Amino acid sequence: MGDLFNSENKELLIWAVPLLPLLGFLINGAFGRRMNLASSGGIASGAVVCSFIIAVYMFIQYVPTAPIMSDGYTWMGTAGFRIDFRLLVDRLSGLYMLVITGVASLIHIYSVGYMSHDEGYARYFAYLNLFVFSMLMLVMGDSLVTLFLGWEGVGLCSYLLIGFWYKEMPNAIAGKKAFIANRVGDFGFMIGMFLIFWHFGTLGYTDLIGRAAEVAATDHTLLNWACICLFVGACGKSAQIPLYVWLPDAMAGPTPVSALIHAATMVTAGIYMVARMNFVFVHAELAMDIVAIVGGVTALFAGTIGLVQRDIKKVLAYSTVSQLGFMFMAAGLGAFHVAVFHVFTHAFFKALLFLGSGSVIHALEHTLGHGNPDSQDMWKMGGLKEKMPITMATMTIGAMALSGIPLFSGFFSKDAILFTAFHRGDLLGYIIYGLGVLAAICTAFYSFRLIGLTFFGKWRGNEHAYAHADESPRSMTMPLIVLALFAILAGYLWLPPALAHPIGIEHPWFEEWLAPAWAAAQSTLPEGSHYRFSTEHHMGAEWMNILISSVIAIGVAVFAFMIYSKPQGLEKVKKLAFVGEGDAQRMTPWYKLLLNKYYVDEIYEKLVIGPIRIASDVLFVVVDVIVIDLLFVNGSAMLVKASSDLGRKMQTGYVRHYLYAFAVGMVVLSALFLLIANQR
Amino acid sequence: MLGNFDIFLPVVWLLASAGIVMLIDLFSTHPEQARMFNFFTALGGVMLAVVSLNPYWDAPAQLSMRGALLIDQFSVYLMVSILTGTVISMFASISYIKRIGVNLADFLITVLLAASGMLLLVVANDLIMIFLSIELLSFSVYVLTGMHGKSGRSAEAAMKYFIMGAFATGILVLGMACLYGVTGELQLRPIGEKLVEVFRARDGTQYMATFGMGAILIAFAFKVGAVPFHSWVPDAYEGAPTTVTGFMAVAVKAAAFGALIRVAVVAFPLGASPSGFFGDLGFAGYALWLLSAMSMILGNWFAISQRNIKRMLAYSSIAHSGYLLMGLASAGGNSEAYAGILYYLLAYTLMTSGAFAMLVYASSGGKDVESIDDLRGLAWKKPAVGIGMAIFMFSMSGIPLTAGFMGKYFIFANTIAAGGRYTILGVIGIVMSIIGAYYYLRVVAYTYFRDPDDKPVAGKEDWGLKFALSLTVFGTVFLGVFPQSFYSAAEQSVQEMRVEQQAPVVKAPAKDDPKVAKD
Repeated sequence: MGDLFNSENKELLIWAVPLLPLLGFLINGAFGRRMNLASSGGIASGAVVCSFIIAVYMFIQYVPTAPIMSDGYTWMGTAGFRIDFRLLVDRLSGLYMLVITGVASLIHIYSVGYMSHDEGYARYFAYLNLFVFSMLMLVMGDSLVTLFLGWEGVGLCSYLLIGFWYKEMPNAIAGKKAFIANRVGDFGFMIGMFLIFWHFGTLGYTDLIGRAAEVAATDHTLLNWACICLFVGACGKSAQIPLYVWLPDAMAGPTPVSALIHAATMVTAGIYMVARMNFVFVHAELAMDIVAIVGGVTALFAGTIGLVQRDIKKVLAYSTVSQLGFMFMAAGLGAFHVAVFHVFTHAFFKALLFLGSGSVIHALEHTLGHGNPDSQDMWKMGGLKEKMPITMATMTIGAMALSGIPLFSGFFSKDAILFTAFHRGDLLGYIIYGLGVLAAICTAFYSFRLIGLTFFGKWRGNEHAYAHADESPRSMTMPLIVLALFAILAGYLWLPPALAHPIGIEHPWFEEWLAPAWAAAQSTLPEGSHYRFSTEHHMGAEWMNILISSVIAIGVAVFAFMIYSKPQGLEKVKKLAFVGEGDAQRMTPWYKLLLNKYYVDEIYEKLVIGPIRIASDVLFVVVDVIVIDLLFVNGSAMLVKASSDLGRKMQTGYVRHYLYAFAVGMVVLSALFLLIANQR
Repeated sequence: MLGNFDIFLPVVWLLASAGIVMLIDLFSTHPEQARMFNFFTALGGVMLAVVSLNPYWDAPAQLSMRGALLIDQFSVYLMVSILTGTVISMFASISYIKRIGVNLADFLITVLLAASGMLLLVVANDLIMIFLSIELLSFSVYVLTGMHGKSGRSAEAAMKYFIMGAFATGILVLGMACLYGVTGELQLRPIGEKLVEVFRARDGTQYMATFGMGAILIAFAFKVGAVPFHSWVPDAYEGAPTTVTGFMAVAVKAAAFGALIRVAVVAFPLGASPSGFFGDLGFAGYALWLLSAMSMILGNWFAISQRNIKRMLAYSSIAHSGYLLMGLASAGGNSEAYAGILYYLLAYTLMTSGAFAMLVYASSGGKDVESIDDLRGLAWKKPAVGIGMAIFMFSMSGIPLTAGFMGKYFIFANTIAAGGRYTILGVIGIVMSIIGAYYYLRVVAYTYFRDPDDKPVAGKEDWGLKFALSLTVFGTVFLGVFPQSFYSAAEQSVQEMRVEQQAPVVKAPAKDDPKVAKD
């Protein structure tokens, strides 16, 4: 064993990180039916935990000195074209690798408790393992090809897990919606990939980074198009306007899946891709501006929808969309390290919040029955703090981190994003800053609305359910506690300079850690570019920024909590939301607009799906009925049938007919041969 | 020259084990107990044959029996493919053969004899040896086709196959006689050298030589089932017992292609047509172009309307012959193209014998799965059928990360790179393989998305079938994910086949032809 871990083997050993979950998938997929919950869950969790331990070891031992470039193999290689499969674990992908395996380990352990009543646990664990494998291939591969394979792999797992309870129709529809939105994104992504391959002749990061100077000198129109196309792909996977619609519906899947796939890992793949390709993006300014604006608008837009949702998971889903918007804001402003930092902190607190909500749902489903919407409706909860103290405490920590209460992790990362926007100092920067501040207000509000409605005040639902609600088993609360610790501590890896300098830290650890990932891009940037990292600090501006953020976060959080944790507060909210009494009671327009999510689904239905449907109806009549049915099916199908019948008629079954064919073929061919031989 | 006798060793092992099985079957008093013993004897024979191939890998080509046999890496690669197909069919047959009421020993003996014929065919280096080994394998396969004694269709198929085969053999002998008459040689290389002189002299014998070459080509086209010499394929494939069909589809095809490539490359002079239009293999290139295009188009086209799965796979096998012929037609002097064909044959062996074994596995209640309707929703009753069938069908239609995709990729890439009219052929191939995806994926759609019927599924299948399926599923995926080592091996094995070294080149004398001189 000692021999295995020596440094010569690191190129081989690193493969264990993605392959262990794949092994878990194969075992669970092949023999899962015959295994009980403990062995099925044990194998799946064991595989991911082992993979996490190896990842930690590799990360500490090797990544700080030099990137690990694994042994690879050539998938296909013919003259002029080859595709290599190799893993590249540098500081950026190493960080992702840790977060993925770490959070996935906790969620696997949590799932053993959560899925204990479900018959499909083997299928569930198999999918979950396959997801971890695909996600690791996505971040650890050394080229856009491996990234794309992983990208499709996680998409497939997401689709399978959203529709996990496929017997219920809405789940299947939600799965289909995710599938379609992602296909639209993937189409853009593929075009972007082809553009890059067409121009540079390679898709490997190492090759491309080595040619960063050449990239910088390339026609920026091409780079802009390539980056915009890649970003369309990121919009699909990371749920940005206009392709975000699938993510809220994706909450139909089991809650741990929402935590792992639809909050902590898969949806941040888009940010990973943008950060990975940073040396291309920094030379595509138009694309960068689009990224920043789409991110900012999405952050605010989804944040406002989150204000009024009643379903506990829907709130968190819109919150995820909004936080992803924050990340793209940072990436679009060139602060890729800040974006990755927010990915990092967000992974912990959002996974925590989802798992916490899962714990609540699990407790209520016990009495209300599986799939009962009441078990997720916050208006029918309240006062659960007595029943579920651990869940309450950990979720409150998560909510504090999410809202950006000072000294919790979300505060540091969100503050860094807002400061980046503010510090940019041009119109775009201020617009983004404004959008960010408004979105931050929404964030703090819906976070504490969630806490207030769920855990405080009086129980408003089924009495029976409340009486039987109980704290979840240890396997579910342990991951919550661990995640809560990280939700507090993760932020201290990047203290803002205003706080760090007085205690003698010159360079925040996180910033310094990731610096090599951007070095190639930075060295090619011209003097005075927006995307150059500045070395000077503005203490005054930074203190002001910290102050504003803190006041907003604390003020809004306290305000929301005061309203939603008290029955009187709720009465007031109802007055705001509804006009009229009794039967005449109607929703106020604003409330209605938000509750219906700005009618985006309906608009898509009318503007996109409707026309497509009409067009397809027209096409159906013109193309299908007239052209295809009449010409092709009745004509060509007649042709196919006739020719097939010809085939069948030729295939009479009589040997003499076969021999005729044989002889005719032979005579014709021989005649041809002799003609040719005669030719001079 | 006779000293190098151990070249026969693989064949000797096969024949010896066949003999032992025959004796056991003759003298055993408990046929049931002898069954497994017979099986392992036959398996041991095949395994020893594989092992005894070892010295010839990584070694220079060796002649034996006064040049009647030639063993090189190319033939070793093919022999491994053939023996793989043999082993898979043997494993898949253990319980199936019993179910259809055939004595396992009879089956094993005939398969081993057929396999010996195939091994001899790929090492054959003169016309007589080619003829003898083709007859050995053909007769064995006729018997195998008609083995299902209780089924009228099986007997009918065997009869048709036999009559057609006899006809093709006649053509083959005619062609060989012509070549011998013109050149006075039996071995392939001297024939090639003499043919160059014949085409250079152009004293009238070139017509006979052309006809001889054409007749041999036609006979091989019959063996691989290329249109228009394919008529026996659907009937024979449908009538033969299912595992025999798998064996026929893969092993016969690999052996016939091996011999065809060797004959075309070594004996047929390059550029027999002075106009140059007909490419590197002379008129053979043109004929192969035509055969390939017709096989791809008609094979895929007729497969669409088939509802009987075995018939559908028969037409699909015709189409696959088309792809392989395309590789051969466009290969010319490019040795890498032959590597593509070898790789494709290996991939084809795994996926096709796997698909036929899967049909046996899917059969319920003792009845063969025949129509595609029998597969309705079977994936939910027998999950292994769903996954396995999907993998084989994906592979046959050429979906990435399967063996079939890589095989198609190598052949298509080389064909299109050959340029000129081969690009057209490549485009035809791509279009037809897209059309082909329709009927392959229809099988997957039936197994997953149609409501299952309420027929009960059969009980447990035996371990042999399961082993054959695991091997083929694993191989199909493995060759798709890690193709490079197999492809490199194929590339290495065709190095000595290189056309510029071996095939004689016709250069028309310049004074005869002012046109050529001008060029």
